[in-house]
Amino acid sequence: MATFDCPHCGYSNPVASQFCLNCGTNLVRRQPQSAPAGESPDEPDDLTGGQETAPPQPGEASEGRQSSAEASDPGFSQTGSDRPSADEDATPETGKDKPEPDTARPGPLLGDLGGLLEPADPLSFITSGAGALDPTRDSTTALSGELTTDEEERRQLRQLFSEDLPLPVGARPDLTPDAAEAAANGNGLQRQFWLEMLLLLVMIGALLWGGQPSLGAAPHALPGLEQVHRQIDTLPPNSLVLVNWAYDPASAGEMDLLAQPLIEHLLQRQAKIIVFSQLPGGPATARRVIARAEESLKRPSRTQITANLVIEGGYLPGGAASLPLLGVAPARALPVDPNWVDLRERFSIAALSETGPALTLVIAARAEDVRRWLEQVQPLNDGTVVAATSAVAGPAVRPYLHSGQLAGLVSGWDGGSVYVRRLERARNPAEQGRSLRLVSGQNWGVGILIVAVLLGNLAGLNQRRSR
Amino acid sequence: MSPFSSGLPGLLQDAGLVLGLVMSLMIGSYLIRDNFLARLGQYVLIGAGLGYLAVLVWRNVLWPRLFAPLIADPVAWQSATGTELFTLWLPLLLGVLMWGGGLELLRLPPDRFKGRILLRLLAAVPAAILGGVILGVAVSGAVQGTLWPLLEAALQTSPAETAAASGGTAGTVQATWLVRLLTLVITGGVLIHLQYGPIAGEKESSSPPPRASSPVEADAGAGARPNLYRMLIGTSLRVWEGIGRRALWLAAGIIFARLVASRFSLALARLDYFLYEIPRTDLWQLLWATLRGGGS
Repeated sequence: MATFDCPHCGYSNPVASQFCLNCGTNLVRRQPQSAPAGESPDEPDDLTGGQETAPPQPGEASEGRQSSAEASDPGFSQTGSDRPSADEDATPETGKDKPEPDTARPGPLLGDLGGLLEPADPLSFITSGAGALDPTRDSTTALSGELTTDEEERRQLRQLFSEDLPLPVGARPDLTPDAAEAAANGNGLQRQFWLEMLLLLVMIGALLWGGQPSLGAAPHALPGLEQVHRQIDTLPPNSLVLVNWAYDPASAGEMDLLAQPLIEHLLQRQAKIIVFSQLPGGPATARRVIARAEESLKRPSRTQITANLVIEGGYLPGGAASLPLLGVAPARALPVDPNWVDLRERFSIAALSETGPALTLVIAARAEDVRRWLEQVQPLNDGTVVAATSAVAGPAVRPYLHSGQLAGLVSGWDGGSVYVRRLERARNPAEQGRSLRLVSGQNWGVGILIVAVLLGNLAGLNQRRSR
Repeated sequence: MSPFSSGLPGLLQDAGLVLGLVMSLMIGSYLIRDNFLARLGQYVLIGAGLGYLAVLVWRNVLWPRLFAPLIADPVAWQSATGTELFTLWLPLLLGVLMWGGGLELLRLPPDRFKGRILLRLLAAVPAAILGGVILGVAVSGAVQGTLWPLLEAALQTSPAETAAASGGTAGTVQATWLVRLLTLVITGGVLIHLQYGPIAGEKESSSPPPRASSPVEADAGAGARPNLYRMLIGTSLRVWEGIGRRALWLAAGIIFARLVASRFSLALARLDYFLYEIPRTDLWQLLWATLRGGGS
C-alpha cells in the first residue's frame, strides 16, 4: 500500500488519509494531487496536465499516471537523481495557466528556524538561487511549519509513481486487517506500549535495588581499551595533551561515564590538558566533568587544577573547515584569549605549535567527530590519537583502530566501567553505588529487550503459521 | 580565567538542578500527549540554547579574535600586511555580507525592504566560499585520512610489517591473515550485493528475468548455453553475494545493539538523576521539609 510521511511527525500514512493517523495533522491541503476535480480549484495541476477525471481503474492507472507524468516532465525517463529540478519541470507547464508559478520562488537563505539551529547549507542556497532575481517573491510566507514547494512536488511525484491509486479525498482506503491494526496501533514493537513501560519500570527497579555488589555484573571490555590506558600511563609529567571535547549535555548521560575516568587518569599523570570543543555546549560540559574528576581525586581545590593542569581552549566554530589549521598551527587555531590565561599557559600553547601534543584525546558521542579528526588533523601533525566514543559510535570508529590511525579506543558505558577498574584507585561509596546501579540497569534493560525480541519473533512465527 | 567559569553559590546551583528537573518533566510529558507544557519546555530550551550560543560566539570568537584587534587599531587597514588583511579585514567583510543576507530572516514586506535582492546576491559570495572550502576539505580529508590509510592497512602484506603491527607472534600473523581474508570476502560480497542485488533470489524464481540487469546475471543466467565455467562463476558469485548480504545484516545488528546500549545509558543516567541527585540537593530538602512541615 502506498504511503507518504506526515510532514509534522514523519508517520507513514495511507495516501488517502485526511489527517495523520499519529499526530492528527491535516494532510488534505498538502496533497492536491489526491483531490478530485474541482475540489481545490486554486491548486496547481501541472503534473497531471489538467487531465483530472474520475479515478481510473487500477489496470489503467499506472499508464495514466505515467503518461501524465511524461507529458509534464521531459525528464521522466531519468532516475531520481538525474531528473531536472522541480523548478525546471513545473515552469513551462504552469506557464500556460498561471502567470507566476509558485515553484519559481527561491527559498530563503536559511530554511526556517532550523537554519538557526543547524549550520546553513550553502549549496542549497546556491541551488535555489536560480530564481533569486525574481522581484515578485513574497516574503510574507509563514516562518515555519509550511512545506516548501519542492516538498510538495516530491510528495506528488511519490503518489504518481506509487503502485496504489491515489483515492479521492474523503474515501477510506481498503485496509487489510493487519494494515488497519497497524495503522491504528503502530507497527511492530511500537504498538507494544506495555513494553516501554516494562523497560522503564525495570530500569527504575535496577537503579533502586541494583546498588548491591551481588546484582551488578562486571562488563566486558572491547579491544583498544588497554592501549588507551597504556598511552596515558606512559605519559611523562607536564606532557601536553590536546582534548577535543565533542559532546554536549544531550549525550552527557552516557559520555560522562567515559570522559571522567580518562580525565582522572590524565590528572593523575600530571598531564597538561588543553581542552577545546567544536560544540557550543562542549566547554561547559568539559568544565563540569573536570570539576567532578578533581573532586573524585580529592585535589585541594578546583582553581588549582584549572590553573596548573587544565587550559580551557574554549569553543572553536567552523566544523571540519577549521580543523586543518589546528593540525598545522594549533597555537593560532585554538580559540584561547590571551587575556584569560596566564603567562605560563601561553608558553604551553606556544610549545604546542613547536612540538605538537604528546597525545590527542577525542571524546566524541558521534563517530563523525573522530573521523574528522583523523582525516583533517592527524595526517598533518602525525600525532598519537586515542578516542573515547559512545557505544553506537564504536563500531564505526573501530576500523581506524585496526589500521593504526587510532592508538586506542574506549567506547560505551562498558568501556568506561572497565576503565574505572583499571585505574586501580579506591573510589568513594557514592561513586561505587552509582556505577553498580548503572551497570545493573543496563543488564536488566538489555535482558528485558532480549526477552521481548524473542517473544516477538515467536509471536510472528505463530501468526505466520496460523495463516 | 574563563569568563564562563561558574561562580554561582551552592543554592543557585541546586536551583539549576531543580529547574532541570522541571524542564525534563515538562518535555517528558510529551510521552503522554502533545501539550502546552511540552511545547513551552521545547521553546524555552531552544531559546536559551540560541542565546547561549550567541553569547559564546561573541565572547569566545568575535570579540577576542576579530573586533578587539580591529578596535585596538582602527586604521590598521591602511598599513595592514597581507596576513592581517586575510585574518581580520577579509573575515569582517565576508561576515558583514553574510549578516546582510541574514536580514532575510526578518521577512519584512518588499515595500519596506528594497535592497533585499542585492543583499541576497552579496551573501552568496561568502556562502559560495564556505561551501567550496567545506567540500574541498571534506574530499581531501576523506582521501588522506580514510580511503588511503584503510586501503594501505588492508594491503599490508609484508610479514614483518604485519608482525610489527599486530604484536609479533606467528599466531597473531596467521590471525591477521585470516582477518584480512574475511575482510576481502565480506567487502567484496557486500559490494556485489549492493551493486547487483540478491542474485540468488532472482535465480530461484521460476520466471526468468526479462533481461539481464547486470553482467553477473548475464553470465550466470545464460541458461540456453549450459557451460560449466559459467555455472561455476555464477554459483560462486551468488554465494559471495549471499555472504555479503548476511554480513550486512550482521553489521546492522551489531550497530543496533550498541545503539540500544547507548540509549539505555542515557535513560539510566536521567533516571538516576531524578532518583538520587535531585533529592540530595539542599534546595530540594528545604522544599521537602517545608512541604512536610506545612502538611503536618
